[in-house]
Amino acid sequence: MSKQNRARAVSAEKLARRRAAERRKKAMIGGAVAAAVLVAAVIIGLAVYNTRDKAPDQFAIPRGATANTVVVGKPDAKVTIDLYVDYQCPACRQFETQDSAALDKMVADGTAKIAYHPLAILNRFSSTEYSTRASAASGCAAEAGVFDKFTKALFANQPPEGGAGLPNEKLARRPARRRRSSRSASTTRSTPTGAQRSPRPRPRPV
Amino acid sequence: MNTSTLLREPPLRRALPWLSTLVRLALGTVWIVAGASKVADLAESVRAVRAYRVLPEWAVPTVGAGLPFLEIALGLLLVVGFSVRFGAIVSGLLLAVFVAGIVSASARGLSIDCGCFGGGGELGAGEETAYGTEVARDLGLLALAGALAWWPAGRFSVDRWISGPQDEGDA
Repeated sequence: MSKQNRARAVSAEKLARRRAAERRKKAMIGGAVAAAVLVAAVIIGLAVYNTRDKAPDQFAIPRGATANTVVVGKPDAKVTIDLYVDYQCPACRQFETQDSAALDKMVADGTAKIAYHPLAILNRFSSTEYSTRASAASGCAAEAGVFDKFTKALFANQPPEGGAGLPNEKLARRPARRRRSSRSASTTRSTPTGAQRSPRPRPRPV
Repeated sequence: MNTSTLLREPPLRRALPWLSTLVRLALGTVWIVAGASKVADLAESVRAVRAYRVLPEWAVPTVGAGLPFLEIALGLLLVVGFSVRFGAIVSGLLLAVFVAGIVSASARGLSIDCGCFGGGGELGAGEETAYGTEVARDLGLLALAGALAWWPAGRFSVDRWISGPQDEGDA
């Protein structure tokens, strides 16, 4: 190999090395930018989730209810029983049928009040999001002061899982007659118009 | 690259950039579809993550809400072909985590839907788990991600546009 050729080979090697280093640098910068994009995506997701989470607070809260619960019984009762119910849940129904007499007694004599948390956890066993519709309707029932009765009626007529559930018309039907007297002040304020208001399903509670 | 070098190259070497492009677009599309199916209902995505019962509760919303956006971003990076090797490696790591999650759920006897393309959470009575199919699918995608990490240089990519034509021969 002549001197000239050797010099050329060396410079070609240098050039190739420089190019490779440049490529590596480009790849590093590209990777860093791509990583930043992915991190930004996660942050955006969390931000969207957190802003969206606050939405339920903007709904009108029914009379006789708080943002999460409908309380049945005397407000000054010493014991509060929290019940988390999905109107489509067979276990909830079982509890209701087995123990409602005892609960009713405790509510009636002022020993305890019941804080109902209507939930929609079983929507996927309904073709019509029955859990959401039923719990939304229970809000209307609370507004009308018939929450307790509504709850009993819905468990007594609980539709099987996997079906369409009860239609909105049936959920909205006004109960024939009120019996219970242990209900809070909202009973007296409720009007027939209130009771007949059609329950509009609100977005799924979170 | 002129005609004479093109003719001298073996067919496989010529096909590789196209195969790489195909794999890249396929993997990118899967990510976008998977992310899009979750992004509309972030609460559901968070529940799906919680159902694995692996992460502490403080981490669940970050993963549940962040994952759909991460998947879409990753899919877009792959589809446009920006930092393909990096995207392929992240894809592989993510898929490995998914496989581990499903296998662990199966091993612990949980009865959940993987929530891979939306849905997710506890299965009801009578609903069958599909861990085998889910793992097989993710392993297939993992193989694609591996191949892409090995051969990231394909056609129609931003990477190629950035690096310029001078690198074509040795890319």
